[in-house]
Amino acid sequence: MVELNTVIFDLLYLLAAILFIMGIKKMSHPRSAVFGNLLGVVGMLIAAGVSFAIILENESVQTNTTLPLGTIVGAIFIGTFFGTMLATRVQMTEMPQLVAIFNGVGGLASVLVAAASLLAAKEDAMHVEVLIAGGISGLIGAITFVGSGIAAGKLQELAFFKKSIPLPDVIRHFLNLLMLAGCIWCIYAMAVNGDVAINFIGICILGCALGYTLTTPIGGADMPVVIALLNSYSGLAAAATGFVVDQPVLIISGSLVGASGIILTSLMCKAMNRSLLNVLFGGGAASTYEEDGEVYATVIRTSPEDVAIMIDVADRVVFVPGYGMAVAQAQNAVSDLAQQIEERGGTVEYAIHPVAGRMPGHMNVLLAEADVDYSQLKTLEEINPDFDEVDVAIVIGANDVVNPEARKEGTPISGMPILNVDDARQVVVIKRSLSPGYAGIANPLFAADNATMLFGDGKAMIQDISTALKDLD
Amino acid sequence: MVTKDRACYGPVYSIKVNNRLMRKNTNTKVSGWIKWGGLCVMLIAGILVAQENSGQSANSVDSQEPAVEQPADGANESENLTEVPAKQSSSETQVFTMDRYEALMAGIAVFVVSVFVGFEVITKVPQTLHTPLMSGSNAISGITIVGAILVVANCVATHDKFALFLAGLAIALAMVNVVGGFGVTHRMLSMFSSKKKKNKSA
Repeated sequence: MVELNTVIFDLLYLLAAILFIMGIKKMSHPRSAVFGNLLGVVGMLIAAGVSFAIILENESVQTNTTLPLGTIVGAIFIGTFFGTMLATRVQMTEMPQLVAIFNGVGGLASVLVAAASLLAAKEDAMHVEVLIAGGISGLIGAITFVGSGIAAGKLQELAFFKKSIPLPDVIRHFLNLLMLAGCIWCIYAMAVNGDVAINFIGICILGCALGYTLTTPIGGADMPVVIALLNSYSGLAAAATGFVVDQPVLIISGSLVGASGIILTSLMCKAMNRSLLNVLFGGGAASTYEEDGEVYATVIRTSPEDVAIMIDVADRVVFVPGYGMAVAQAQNAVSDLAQQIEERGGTVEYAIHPVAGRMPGHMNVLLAEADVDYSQLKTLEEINPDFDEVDVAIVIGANDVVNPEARKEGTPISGMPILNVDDARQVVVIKRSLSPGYAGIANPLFAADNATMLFGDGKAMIQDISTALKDLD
Repeated sequence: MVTKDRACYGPVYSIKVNNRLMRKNTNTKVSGWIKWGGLCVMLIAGILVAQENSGQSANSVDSQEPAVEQPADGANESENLTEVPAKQSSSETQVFTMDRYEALMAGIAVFVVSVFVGFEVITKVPQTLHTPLMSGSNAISGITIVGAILVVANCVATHDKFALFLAGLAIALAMVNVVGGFGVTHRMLSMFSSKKKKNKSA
């Protein structure tokens, strides 16, 4: 006989899941997105509240046990404290690291829930499917935890995470396969023999090792793919945990997050014209850069004053930001310069390549922080047909995403969709030097007839242009 | 049979959604993945349904079948999907009862369908909001807090102190995820939305 309370609790869980879906749906426009996020908060409050109600009700039925309410409330308090600290203190430029850390924390939480629930389960509840789900949750969660930790360390540019073990690719792949096979064997042994503790620990250790070997060789411009993929994993781990504790709300929410991560991953891969396998196992771009004097023979240097004059007469200016803008913290300077241009009657737009920066949407967040209106942020598809009507395109800290070599055959970036900056009437490239981007190839754009180079720190150069523009009056 | 219909529900729905995606021709790569995912699930469902049938026939033909001990209640006696592993375990009953089979299938169907719902909803999120989407979905994956809280009750019932410690740790971590994720998402989104035409002093 189903009790009324159970029905109410289940329906409330379902409501929470619906709120999550609605919340993400509201994210389809910046105006409604804040409300969508609040829907998510309400959903989470409902879900957590119902869980409390359920265990409190259980306690009132079984009178011989007392709940460690102090522990629960304490844990919630600690978690809230650290969560608030992270959410309020972290700079917008550090957002990729923060998201990576949250991914890892989520993965670890899934592992711990699976472990606790397998340890505490009664003998008659140790079903095959529960054990398998627990094993999968432990495996994915462990990979996510260690992988995210390494990704965050690399993004923070900590020296410890920069070096990877110099193994030949073949051996690395073989090791990965071996460890994966070991995990699957552990899951099988756990499901069939029921030696939960040993096998689960084995799965976690192997999962951690896998997370390490999978993420260490990847870096630089491939980071957006890794973060999106780990985001997906943290969701899948939560979904697997849902099978362990038999709660559909976990399955629904987890698979939502999983789908979100997978979509972003595939978008990132498409924006680089590479397959996911190539990104994960390609073993980094070969840095076979030689001084390409031939390509760069016709490079023209310019000065901030010349650029200011160029901008002064321009009607339409497009900024093309890349990771270099984030490194130089130049977003506010760019926004100020844009404001000046607008006051002089020009229009300003920002052309943002999908893989610019170190995570999906990285540039957009930085520019939004600098008070740039979202209607000025243009995607690749929106801005590319318009580039021949652009008077001045200012490339700041971007390289591979504007490299015309991508249109040719036989280069490392062939077929990658790029911003057609070279179609603009005049191009200014602000860069420290002529060094190549992540793909390791020379960029003919720098030497094009309509392009001039402005060497120096992004922020300083933009500020110099600003002052020069002011002095023109 | 009702169960079969339910088992096939997920894949059938997946194909429906997939067709819609294909027709819109929004993202051929994703739709390709969905097609293969749907096929895989259909295959698994097919295998399970086939096993169910063979299990039934074995039940009706073999008289020595109930050698495997059964739960004593009368609710699920008639149809037992038996899946005897190569090595018989000592402690647990390996009877794959109809109840559990149905629950598992329903769970998988929920999983598959919500992946497609996710695909539908998330493809509409613009590139500008991809970072908030990631941190927001991160906060949603903090839903493991539900599992963590529920597990506490089990830990108390079995007097397992270590498991309780793990559950407490899981609650704290999930809470970091939830509070931090929603908090930082809100911070980012309010930067996007509050665009009173710039009146700051440069």
